[in-house]
Parts: sequence; C-alpha cells; structure tokens
Amino acid sequence: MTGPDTDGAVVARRAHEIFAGRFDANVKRVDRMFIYLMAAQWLCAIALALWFSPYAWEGRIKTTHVHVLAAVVLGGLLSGMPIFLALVRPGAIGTRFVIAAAQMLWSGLLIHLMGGRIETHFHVFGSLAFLAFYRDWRVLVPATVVVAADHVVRQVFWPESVFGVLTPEAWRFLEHAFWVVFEDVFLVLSCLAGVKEMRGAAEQQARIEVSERREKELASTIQTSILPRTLAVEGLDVAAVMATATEVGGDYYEVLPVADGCWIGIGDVAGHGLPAGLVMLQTQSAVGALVGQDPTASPDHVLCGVNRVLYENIRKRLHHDEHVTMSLMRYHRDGRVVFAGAHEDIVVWRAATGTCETIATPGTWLGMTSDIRRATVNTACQLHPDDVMLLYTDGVTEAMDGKREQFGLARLCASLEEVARGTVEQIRDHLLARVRAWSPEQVDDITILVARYRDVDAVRVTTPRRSVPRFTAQSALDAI
Amino acid sequence: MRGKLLVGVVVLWAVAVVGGMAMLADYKYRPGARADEQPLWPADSKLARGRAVPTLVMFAHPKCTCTRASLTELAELMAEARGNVRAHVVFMKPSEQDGDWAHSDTWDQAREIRGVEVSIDVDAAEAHRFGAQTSGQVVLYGVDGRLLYAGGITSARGHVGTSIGHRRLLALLTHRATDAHTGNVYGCALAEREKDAPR
Repeated sequence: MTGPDTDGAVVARRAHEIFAGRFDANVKRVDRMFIYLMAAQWLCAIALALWFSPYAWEGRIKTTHVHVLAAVVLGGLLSGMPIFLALVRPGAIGTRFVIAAAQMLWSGLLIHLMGGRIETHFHVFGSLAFLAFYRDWRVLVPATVVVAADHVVRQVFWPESVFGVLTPEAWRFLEHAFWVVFEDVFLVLSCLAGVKEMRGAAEQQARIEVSERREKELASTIQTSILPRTLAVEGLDVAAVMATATEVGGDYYEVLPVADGCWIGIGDVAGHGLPAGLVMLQTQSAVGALVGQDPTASPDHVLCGVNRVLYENIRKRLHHDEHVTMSLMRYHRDGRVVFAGAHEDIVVWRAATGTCETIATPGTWLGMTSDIRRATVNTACQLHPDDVMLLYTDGVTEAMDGKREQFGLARLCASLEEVARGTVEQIRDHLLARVRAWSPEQVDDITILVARYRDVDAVRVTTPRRSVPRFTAQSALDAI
Repeated sequence: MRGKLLVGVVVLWAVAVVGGMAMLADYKYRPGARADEQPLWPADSKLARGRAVPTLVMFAHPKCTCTRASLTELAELMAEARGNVRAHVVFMKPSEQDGDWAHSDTWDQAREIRGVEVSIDVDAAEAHRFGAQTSGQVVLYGVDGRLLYAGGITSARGHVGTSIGHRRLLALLTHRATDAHTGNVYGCALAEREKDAPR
C-alpha cells in the first residue's frame, strides 16, 4: 500500500501531466485562433488597400499603389509564416514567438495602410491582449521588442513620422515603449494568475483521479480475491481464469465443493467497472449463502433465491438497472450435471468422438423482476470419462478483430478441439491465448472455466490462474 | 535537420519581412518633387490673394489618395488659424477630361473645409505658375505677396498626424514666426515627369 508521501508524489506527477496537457492544449487552441486572425488580417489589408488607395498617380497616368502590393505581398509574408508554423508546429514556443512578432508587424502595416490614423494604433494594444490568451508571458517579450525596435528605427531614420519633429530627444522612443510595457505589466500578471489557476485545477483533478484509482484498485483486489482459491473437486479437473477489462470486472465464476460433487456458477453482470463489480460481489455472496444453507437444493431453486436478493438490492434499494446473466449447475460424482439459468451455451467436448457439442441454457436474466420461477427450469446433461465441459462469458465469443469480426462459438469449439486432450490448464491457456491473439485490445471481461470429468478414483487438485495479484491477508490489511 | 531547416526558413522570412517593411517605409517617407518656389505671388495667377490676411494655396491631384491626409491636416490648420488666412485648394484636371474627373472624394473633402475656396486647374496651369509639382504642395504668401512657406503639410505620404510643415504654417498664421520656410512635400506627381528630368 502506498503511503501519504508516495501519494503526494503521485499526485504531483499527475498534476504536472494534467497541467502540461492543458497548457499545451490552450496554446494550440490560441495558435489555431491566430491562423484565422492572420488570414482575416491579410484579407482585410487587401480590401483596405483596394478600397482606399488602389492607384498612385503621375498626372494622367495611374499605377497600382504600393499599398496594394504591400498588402498582398508583405501581408502575405506576415500571415503566411505564422499560419504555416501554427499548422506544422502547433504549440511550439517558437511558433508563438513568430506569431507575436508578426502580429505586432501587422500593426505597423495596418497603420501604414490606414494613413497613420490614430485609431489604428489601438491594434497594437489589442494584439498584446490577444497574445495574452496564450497565458505565456514570454510571448509578450518579442512583441514588445518589435514595437520598441520599430520606434528606435523610426527615431533614427524618420523621426518626423512618429514624433513630428526632426530631432527628438534620444529617450523619446521610450515614451512610446513605456505605454506598451505599461499594458505588458497587467498582461504578465494576468498570464501568471492564469497559470497558477491552471496548476491549482490540475492538482485538484490529480487528487480526484488518484483517489478514484485507489478505490477501484481496492474494489478490484477484493473482487478477484473472493474467486475460488482452489478448484479441488472429486472426479473433476478444473482450471479457470478471469481477465478483467477494467480494474473492476462484472464477470463471475464459482466452484463450491459439496458432498457428492460441487456447485459451479458462471455469470456476467451487464456492463463493467465498479457498479458491475459490486453486483458481482452480491451475486457471489448470495450463491455462497444459499448453497451453504442447503447443498442439496436444486439449481432453479437457488437461482430464484439469488434473483430475489439481487432484485431487492439493485432495483429497490440502489435504484440501479444492472442485471446478471448466469448459469448455476450442480455436478454429481457420477458425471451428471443439472443446471439452470440463462447464460452462454455450454460446450462439451466428447472424448469418444473428439468433437464438441453445445447445450443451450434456457432461462432469464437475474435482477430484472422479483420472481423468475416460471422462466427458470432445470436441465440435465451427462458427462462421460475424459469429456471436457467449457464455460465462458461473452468476452470470449464477442471479442472482435480489426475487421470487427467476432471470435464466435464455432471458432471457440475449433480451438477447444485442437487441445482438448491436454490438461485443463493447457486448454485454459490455449483458449485465452487464441482470444487475445484474435483481439489484442481487450474491451470486455473474459472468463474461461474448463472442467474434465474423470473417474471418481482419479481426483486432482489444481489452483485457478489469476490475471490480477492475489489477495492475501497482508494485502487486505494494507488496503484497509 | 528539419529543425535547422525550419530555423533557416524563419530567418529568411524575418529578413524578407524587415526588408519589405523598410521598402514600404522608404516609399512612404520619400518626398515628392519640391516646388520651384516663387518668392513673390505670381502676377499672372487667376487666384484671388488676400489683402488683409495671408493666402494659402494647396495644389492637389484629385485622384491622389495620399492627398486625403493633406486635406485632413489642412482642415485642422484652418480651424487652428481661426479665419486668419485665405485658402485655396486647386485640383488639377487634364484638359481632355470632363469636369467630373476632378470631382473625387478628395474634392468633396476639400469643399467641406470651412473657409476654403476649391477650384479646378486645367492642365495644372496654376500649379505651373507657382512651381508646384507634387499633390499636397502648400504655399503661403503674406499680405505683401512674399512667399512665407513652401512645402507639405504631412510627415509622410498619406500619413496624418503632427508634422513640421503643419507646425510652421500654424506659427506663421498665428504670428509666432515671420521667417520664410520650406519643407518636404509628400504625394503623387501633379504631371507626368519627363524621362530625363531629375526626381
């Protein structure tokens, strides 16, 4: 179990990941905004030039005005590179630096095109505010440098254009730059506050995620730990595996040895995750209690009892809509198997013929209605020596490949026939490998239970394979 | 390698952009041809000269978009001079063009300036008398007919805002200065330049 210090480190690391992801998403979003702004500025500049100053004149002769050329060519350059970088290198700091510089140069070009109108100078301050959307104060540096450099160059070469005199004081450009820096101060503070807020939100999110993950891990540990520890049954070799798609699965299997055989259950709660896992726990508890109370009961009787418990808890108390498909069977030492409850078809590989047969499991879902007695019937089948009975959940047959084709019952039977003369562990592992090869990305819980009928004299004890860490007394204490 | 290439492209872009901005600035701040100044009010001028107040004449090309800024500055100057000047805005018009040719948006802008007389100057004859060559050229003559100022009224082509010419004119009109001055003028050429003529 991880302690508070370790948790703190995990939270800090996760908070940093979340913050970095959100910061990156934000700067990419603003990059995209500038793509549109740059394109719009270019089109506006061309329109302005064509509208206000399409031609220059020399007496009777007209030529295209330099403003038009500047709008098309220079404006194209100013917008082209930022758009290109925003498309090929979104989120890179160099991209937003180029965007910042280009945006301030756009102010200069628009001021030229608008004949130096004082109103156009507001573009400078609007652009700085727009750049602050990045929440990265560093982009204001190249923007401010461009404005200051523009004024320095003008002061040296064209002082009248910006100061109205031919010999301005050496510090005069600083007066103009000061007002830019004045706005910068507020924007930098705004950026820093925005980043601080993002970090706080990321840390809060990280705490929630870590807490939820630990709760799921705990629930998963408990759930998988209540699976049968040993599968020792007289006259039956049993091997099983349950691989959950999420930390908490909705699959269920049970092997409860009793005198003259055992009870075997297999089921699947609709959905998976924590709610499905909790329903699975209730199912396991109800089966254990009812079978323990009366080991000689018939499967349909036990199943109706389980249904009453689930209906009461899920529908009436929790007001949830989960339900369970489940087959519960009673195995007798003489190879007789009596079962009830709707689930996947039972596959029986007959040693005498070397082929599989499938047995339907009539019945209805558990937990949907208060009384399922009319729909629940007992069915019997006979196992002969060396016959193999295969139970599974829909995570096996409905596993899809890249073309969305399901693994299917026929492929499952064929896979069983390939290895049916091996040990039950070999059969279990072979089937699981086939399913995983068919569908490398597991989206549903997978449960496989393999049982081979032996003569009563040939009793073996095997242990189930677990896809999750074993639950021990020490781990239970740690979890608590 | 791709990173270095990208940096190289960005550097080239920066050079191109700075070069483009410099070329644009050079165009904007390069003055037009100065007037062939006439120290005395031309005797053959058809324009009426003020006898009690100085007379200001602006020569304009009706199609020159840069002249909008000159007229904007003239409007401000007229307001500041408070009637202490007689002003003309003379729009050139080629003789082969009809009267509407000169009636542009700058014509309307000039007519809206209070106290300004607006007239058409066929084939820029009046401009020739005053030696004006560039749209936006302003000349100011005192009541005695002597030239007080010749130059522009803006700081760049089509650029509004404070300028040396504007301030000198205002100083002359408000009697804070009496010395004659000349200055740069920014705008389109009033007439086609001869190929060999110096710019």
